[in-house]
Amino acid sequence: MEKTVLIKTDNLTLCYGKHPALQTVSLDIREGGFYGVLGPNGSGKTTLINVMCGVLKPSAGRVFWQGRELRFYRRRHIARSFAVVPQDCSINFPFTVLEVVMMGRKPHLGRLGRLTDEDLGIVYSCMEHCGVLDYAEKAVTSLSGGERQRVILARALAQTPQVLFLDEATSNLDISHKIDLLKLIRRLNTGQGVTVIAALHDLNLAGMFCDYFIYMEKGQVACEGPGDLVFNEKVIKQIFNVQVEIDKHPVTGRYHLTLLPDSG
Amino acid sequence: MQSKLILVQRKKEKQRLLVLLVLAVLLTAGCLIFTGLGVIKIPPWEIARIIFSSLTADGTALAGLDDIHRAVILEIRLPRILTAILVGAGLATAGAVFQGLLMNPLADPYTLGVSTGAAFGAALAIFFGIFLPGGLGMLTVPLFALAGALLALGAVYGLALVNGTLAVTNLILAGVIVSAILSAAISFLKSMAGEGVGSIVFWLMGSFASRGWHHVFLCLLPVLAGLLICCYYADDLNVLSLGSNAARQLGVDDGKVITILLVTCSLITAACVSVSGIVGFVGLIVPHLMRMLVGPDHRILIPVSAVGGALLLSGADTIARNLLATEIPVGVLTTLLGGPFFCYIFKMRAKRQMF
Repeated sequence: MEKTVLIKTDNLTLCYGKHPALQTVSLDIREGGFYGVLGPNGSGKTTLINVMCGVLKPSAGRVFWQGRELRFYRRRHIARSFAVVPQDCSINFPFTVLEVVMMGRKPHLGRLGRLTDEDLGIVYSCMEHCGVLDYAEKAVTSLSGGERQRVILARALAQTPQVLFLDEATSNLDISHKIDLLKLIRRLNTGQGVTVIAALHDLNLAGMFCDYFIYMEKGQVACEGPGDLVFNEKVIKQIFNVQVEIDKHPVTGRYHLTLLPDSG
Repeated sequence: MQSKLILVQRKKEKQRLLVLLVLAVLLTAGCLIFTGLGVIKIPPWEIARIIFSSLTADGTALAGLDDIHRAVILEIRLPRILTAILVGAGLATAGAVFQGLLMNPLADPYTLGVSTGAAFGAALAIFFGIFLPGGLGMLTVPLFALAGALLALGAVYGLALVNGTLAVTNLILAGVIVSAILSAAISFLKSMAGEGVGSIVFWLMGSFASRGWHHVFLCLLPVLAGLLICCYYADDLNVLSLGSNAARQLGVDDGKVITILLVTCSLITAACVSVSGIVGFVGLIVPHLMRMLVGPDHRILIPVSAVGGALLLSGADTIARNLLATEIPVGVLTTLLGGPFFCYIFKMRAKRQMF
């Protein structure tokens, strides 16, 4: 049975000056999916994520969230359903890890932002999930990139979102942290039904974790669909201009991709 | 485990309130002691009685007190101390907010050129010997300074506003440019002023000498109302200090909050500078010191900075008028004493973090 459409974009276009970063993008994001947004540098992945989550306003076209146009929602309201983990999470001030994760509850709180015991309970379990409890009282400025990324993920989870956006969230991490983070997100996706939309650079990681793929090229959707239809040699050759071989793991059912650099 | 986290957090909230309380008590005590110091020494309890009696209009509380003491306190020292308290609170508040908003620990209330605008306005009034008619005569220089500050502010916003949005880097750059132009204009006035150059220079250094109640009233409303507005938006400012995008993702209407806070703090700064001249250092250093004490959470940092700034500046002014036979400009003193102190703390902290 088809899952309900959570986010629908209708002919999205966004221009920086005269240069179009997105052109007539129409997509349906369905509940519970793990979407990978793929494409070369400058193809509009980040812009697409930012427009879908309401951070950027499109120059033309519309974004619908549960059937209603996104621009009619208040920001606070959107932030209760959408959370974003960006690529660059540098923080200038020495907030403690706990303080940063507590900020994730902000959209759910009143003006003075005091957390109830229940809010703190959510904060605790998100920190536990992301493995950052041990440095709860450390300044976030003193953490390594990988640790900080997990703190930001914990903050995003503390928003208790229905949709989690990842904008190259793993690209600054080493391979084991990358996998840890994505495994964690995968668990949220299968366990709690959180819809995930992830812009990813690493095709292998995308193949391992995503169910649906959206290929971007020059600001347009070049191709989209479930892995069995679109995660194949032909599409990747067309978009990225590299020769690859793709196998499906017999047990996990996940895709595995091998670069064939010399056969191009 | 989870309940432990809740307990730790609640304890931290209490500790922060305690810091604020302690500082407030220190400020009250300081205010009573500082007012008593000077050529005529008056004990704090006597000052408390004088203030109490004039607040309640209760003549009996004054029994046995010297009339001269009463006049010295109410007409000379108290308005001066209160001006210093308001200016200290205002500059430190504005500094804390500017540092958070501009995401730059080097920012201070003067970064956006408000102070240079005020200085130019004051220099104009002094240079041309302008004296406003009627009851405003005493406030000529402050009002010119205020007008100059607001004009500079308008120019900076006009420059920084591109397609209806304010970008932080544009603001800093516009502030620097407007400041540079106005500084040149001030230098021009100074070079043309001949004998009068002394009073321009003295105003620029900042001082609370012979500030009266009209000065208090001029900056009372902007500082108090501004402080309240900043506290109201403090939680949003926490998120904004992580960057505009992070703020949007966490549901803060960043454009609106940035504009409100920038305008509010610029007005606070304009009001402060117009009554005191340019007192450096307080707006830059007090937020740093307080951040070391209570952390970067603006909900507590802003009120604590306000009280800390008030305490620092009223204390510095007391030293400035008592230390030597001639008065030292308070701005010079805050930097001369506070600067090395801050260097010391900074160095100790850097060392501790390394090991």
